[in-house]
Amino acid sequence: MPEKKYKLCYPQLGNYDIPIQYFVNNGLHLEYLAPPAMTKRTIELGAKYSPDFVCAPFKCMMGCYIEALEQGANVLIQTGGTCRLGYYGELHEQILKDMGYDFDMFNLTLFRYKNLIGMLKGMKQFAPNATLLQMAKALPATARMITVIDKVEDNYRQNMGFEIEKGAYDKVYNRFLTQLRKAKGLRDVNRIYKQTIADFDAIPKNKPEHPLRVGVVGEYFTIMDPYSNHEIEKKIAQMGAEVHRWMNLSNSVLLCPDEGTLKKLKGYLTYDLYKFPSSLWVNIQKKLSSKYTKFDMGSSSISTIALAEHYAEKGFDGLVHVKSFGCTPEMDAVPVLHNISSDYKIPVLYLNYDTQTSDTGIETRLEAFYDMIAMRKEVTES
Amino acid sequence: MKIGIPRALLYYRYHVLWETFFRELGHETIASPLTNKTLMDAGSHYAIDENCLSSKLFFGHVSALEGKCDAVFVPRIANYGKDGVMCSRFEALYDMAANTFRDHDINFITCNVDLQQKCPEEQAYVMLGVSLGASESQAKEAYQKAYAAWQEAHTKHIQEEEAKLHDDRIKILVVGHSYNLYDEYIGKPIMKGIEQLDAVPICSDAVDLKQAQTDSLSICKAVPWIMNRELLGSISKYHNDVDGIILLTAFPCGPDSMVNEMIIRRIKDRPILNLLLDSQDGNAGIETRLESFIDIIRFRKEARL
Repeated sequence: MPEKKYKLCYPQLGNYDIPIQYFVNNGLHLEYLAPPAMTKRTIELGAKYSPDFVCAPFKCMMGCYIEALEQGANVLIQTGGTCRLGYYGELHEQILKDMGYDFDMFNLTLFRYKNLIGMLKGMKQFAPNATLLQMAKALPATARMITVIDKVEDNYRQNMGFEIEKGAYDKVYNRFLTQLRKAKGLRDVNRIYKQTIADFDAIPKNKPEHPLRVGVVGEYFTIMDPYSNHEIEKKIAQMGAEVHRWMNLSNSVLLCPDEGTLKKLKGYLTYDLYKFPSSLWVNIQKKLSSKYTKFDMGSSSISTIALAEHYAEKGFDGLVHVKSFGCTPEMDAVPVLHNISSDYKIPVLYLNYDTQTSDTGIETRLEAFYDMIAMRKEVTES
Repeated sequence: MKIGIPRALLYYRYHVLWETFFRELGHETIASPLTNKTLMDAGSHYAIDENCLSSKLFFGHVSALEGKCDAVFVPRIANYGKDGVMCSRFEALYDMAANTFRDHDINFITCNVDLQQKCPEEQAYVMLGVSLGASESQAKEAYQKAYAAWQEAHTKHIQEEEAKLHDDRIKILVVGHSYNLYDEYIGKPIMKGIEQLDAVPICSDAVDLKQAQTDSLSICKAVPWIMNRELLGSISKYHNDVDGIILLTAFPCGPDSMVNEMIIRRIKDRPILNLLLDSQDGNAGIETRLESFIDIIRFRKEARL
């Protein structure tokens, strides 16, 4: 029997298709089809075939899957998690099959992998020739890629608003992404990272001593995917502010705020994939936010609260809370954010995304918010 | 001590258990009044506007208990381990209530059921009992009595609903969370509407909870929510005996938004009406849809005879 040729695909999530592609190519020796960049068509397609009031990420992923299937992907990856995400896989599969597509779903929820090793083993289903050793070998570079992307993006968001020559940061950032796509291993990744940071530092900037600082908190998918959130971070940064965001793959999954190596290792090996996307280090964050909450409120909400309080304590000028319409855990965090806002006197902009959200609407609200916090800072400083 | 219990959300599932438990420990309980317009408005005032209708009502019920009792009981129920998880709303409910009513004169008491974090139900209630001043053995006994009472009440409820199956009129299975089915403002008007149309509504919560878990697998495999699994179980149990199914959902219920879609895609041999309820006043739209749904079923039935 001729071996079926698998072509894997995971929906777009920021730039994380680069490490995923690297892992699939080098760890599993399979072909990976990066989902086509999200466009209006993606979202429209997704919304058309999804239930009405399901959360926006479901619709975005749906659109990504359809476009990937059109381009010949035949294995779709779905992760699952604590909130509605836990049911994405089965429903996506049903709807797409009803539409007549032929594919396999690699649904991590269904396989009940308890931890990382179990997941690696499960991957053999699609990659019969790959060995655990190969996968383990590809892991360090994959993980490094994720952390490097996050670090570069952190730097980019915090400084790009103060560049003198317009577009200088974008140029370096885009070059970084292109190079990273071609990286062959850990050494390449490290070299590209060093070069990028050096290039960033060399860009002439006009940064005041106390710039406006804005913290972005919110729901896992919408916050990490710039297309889904209408690039709000870039927009705020360009108005002239430092934009901070803790929530990314490396902070929520790879890097432990508590740096003990043994603890970290134990965390990786025993990480219950069911709890994704609640942070791996949820207990630490629970302690941090204990002033406001007694329990873990589910999914990413505990990180939202812990980070909102952290930013407020650090004297940030404003917070932006990002979530898709109807996201239960993030909605539940809102009363807590109200309290943080009134205790620390920090303004919070609540942004709610659906597939209909318009760019102009978002821009107007961001501008008004920026003007307000900028004026507020002037008044308090003088 | 006088303990207030909001008549919303899990009240409809667990009220026998809660009331018996507190009574056994020598506490008085008071439930908030039946849902009415004032409560609904209060709920919309306190809750974030995109909360589901059922949780908005919950906040209205909490506010109605202010000044009426010494403490309001809001449990935090996250999951039952292998049996599935609850909607994350129930995981956050206590903290939400405590934060929303921070500046009000309301004390909250809670218990934490979270099997993934090794807090089983019994332990949760025993700890609650101890924190209310009972000894561990007293609390344990109270819980066991309460659990038995709850089981008994539930069995009786199942028998009542099963008895309705012998009715010759058109039978409609109303699939919805118990807090929607039995609420004065959400489910009751629909139940009444069905009865007025000379049909019999059967409530989806009349299932053996363990059995429903297993039965649900015949429809979908990966549903994580325990309460939705039970709804699926009820469809699998009653589906051959009823003439139609109504999916009753409060907008924008997270789990239902996906599971209902699945039900519609997988149950093909019974007519299904998907009723989405919002906090709008006026039932004319709903009534029309109910009427035409039942009319269609009736015509089809007569045509077949």
